[in-house]
Amino acid sequence: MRSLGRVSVVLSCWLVTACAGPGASSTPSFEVPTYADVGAAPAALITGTLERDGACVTVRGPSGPRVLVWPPGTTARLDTAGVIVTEVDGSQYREHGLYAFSGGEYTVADFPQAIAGLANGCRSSQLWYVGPEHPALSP
Amino acid sequence: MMLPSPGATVRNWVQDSFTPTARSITSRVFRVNQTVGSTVCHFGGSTGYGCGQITTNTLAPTSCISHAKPIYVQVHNANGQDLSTGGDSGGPWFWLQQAWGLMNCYAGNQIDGIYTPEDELEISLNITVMTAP
Repeated sequence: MRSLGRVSVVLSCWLVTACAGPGASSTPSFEVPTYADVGAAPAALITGTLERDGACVTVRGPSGPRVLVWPPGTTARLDTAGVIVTEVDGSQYREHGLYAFSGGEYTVADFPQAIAGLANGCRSSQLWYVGPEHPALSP
Repeated sequence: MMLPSPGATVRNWVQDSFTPTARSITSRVFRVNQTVGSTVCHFGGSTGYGCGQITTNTLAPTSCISHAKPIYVQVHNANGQDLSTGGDSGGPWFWLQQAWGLMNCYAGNQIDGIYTPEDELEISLNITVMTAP
């Protein structure tokens, strides 16, 4: 009886998690790579669609996908519509959305800062250093 | 580095407004003469035309440029006009008909900009900026 009670408690917890809707706190977190220093930053611009390719969150611009490396404190999670990235100021970027990101293009070898959380599968890609502020997209 | 399109004519011009208008470049100013307090102007693809005063010509913006040496120039606009944001990179810095450098980095606030001075640009890209048609 005691073990049946434990099964019931476990099952209840599982059901609550499974029934949680999009945006609930139980949505799985997803790690995005970040750099540490928000001082001087590259001043180029890329416009494209936010996409997810396995563990890599990319922006697909005219020259193909670039793995995004975000300012410190940026978090991400998955919901039914895909990945949602949130910067420390609350700005959100959603998978399939069209965005303009300030910053610059690098490889792992020439990236000017240490990168935390870059998955091995993303290391060979071209990277985009996401600057600390972004100009608005033209309508 | 961008190469000219096939058939294009390379001229000693820089863009200095959204119109766009072309400004002729007839001389080059090297970093040693880009002294603190000097006024210099730029055109950026996002912030457009603006000017400011040099606050240092020995900046090493290592968070922007890997292993940066202290040879970069920072400019500040005391009136609060933006001098740098995403999309300005690669834009010219100039004074009158003089070439002073090319935009690199946002400086942590938009009323400052960081550029590579003219002579360092020529060394790193193995080029000479044209001063005649």
